[in-house]
Amino acid sequence: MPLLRTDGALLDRFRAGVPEALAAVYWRFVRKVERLLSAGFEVRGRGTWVGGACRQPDDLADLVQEVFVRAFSEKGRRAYDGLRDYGPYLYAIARNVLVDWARVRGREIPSSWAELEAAIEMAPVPEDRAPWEAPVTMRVVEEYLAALPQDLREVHRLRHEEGLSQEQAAEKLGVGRQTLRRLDRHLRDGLAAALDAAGISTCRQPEFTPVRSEKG
Amino acid sequence: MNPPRTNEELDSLLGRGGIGAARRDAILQTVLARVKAESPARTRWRWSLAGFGTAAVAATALFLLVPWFSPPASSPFRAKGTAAKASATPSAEIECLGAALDACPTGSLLVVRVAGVHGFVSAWAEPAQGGERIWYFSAETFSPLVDAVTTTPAATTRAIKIGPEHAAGAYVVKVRVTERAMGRDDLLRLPESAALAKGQALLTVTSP
Repeated sequence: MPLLRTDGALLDRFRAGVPEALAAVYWRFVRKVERLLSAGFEVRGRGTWVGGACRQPDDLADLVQEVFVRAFSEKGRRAYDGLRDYGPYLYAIARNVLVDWARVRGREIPSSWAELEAAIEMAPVPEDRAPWEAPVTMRVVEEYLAALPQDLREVHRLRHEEGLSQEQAAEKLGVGRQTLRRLDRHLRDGLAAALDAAGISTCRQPEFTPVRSEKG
Repeated sequence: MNPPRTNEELDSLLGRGGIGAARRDAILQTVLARVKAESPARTRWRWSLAGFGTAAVAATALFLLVPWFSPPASSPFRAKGTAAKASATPSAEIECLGAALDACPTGSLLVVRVAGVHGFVSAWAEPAQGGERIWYFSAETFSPLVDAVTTTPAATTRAIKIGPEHAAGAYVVKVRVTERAMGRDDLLRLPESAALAKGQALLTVTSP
């Protein structure tokens, strides 16, 4: 169901930059934006494929952040007309961010706004499946998830499959945020233990922005 | 001994890919902080070159990121249709989200914003007492493209996390905006006149 187009009060608060309204929009769209940035897209009529960041999870996080920074900026909020669905507008911003990212890597890509908006209609976003992880790692993950007790299974579904915030997940489960945080931690600790038991070491140390030091 | 897994790594696995729940939470907090920082109340943190000599600037000099720009007419970006737009005075700023540049705790996020210019942002920090240079944005990793020619509001770039590579102490953070993404060696050799905008700010990192 369209979010901003059919809810005038929410649209007004969104345009005013009210945090609760921005958060509502963010949680509605963040998973889709993430998948879009991960999968890439094709520019209609040009046959130009813009690759996604599915193999660069650190970059993917940066790109997701950049999309929402642009979309939620005052300029970005004003530019949304409120007449059309917000999703295609947001996805065009995401494609623009992805084009910028590709350009930094030396690719020349056409990126008129019309082309970026049109691309959303022809490039279905596939579900990503952690292509950067080894199959043996994912097998351990799947076995761990399959053996979860009911409470943690629900936490996993809401937080990691539906992509809800802690607040939203806590509300759905009927628990406080403190309890939800504890369950979140149990979920992670359990997976870490399962990976340790399988002898699988960590493969990367993600950070928001990679930095490198050198002698100056 | 293996390093401990981060929450982000575990969340990514639990989500069978993607950035993970904890990181989504963190991104929202960063975005909301930047939206809040964009509000008129914080415009006191942004100055144009023309306002450099004012008392207000002098009173808050520690926050200052001094912009410098060459005539933008030579920029190829202008040749592609932006020349007709009303250009804002080029300006730049840096902010430690949730804190101040003279007391920015480890773990904080730094935000670089550029206005009135269109180009690629590079940034790095140099310890005031000498030592290892820390690179934030450069062509080797990521050099954000910022379109802020007409600039209301100033365009923003992604945040920089003040990680453990920052020992507590003072740093000079340098920012350059250039027509193309530049590598580190080129940036260090870059003549001042070759940058679209240039600036630096004093950053003091503190223990959390």
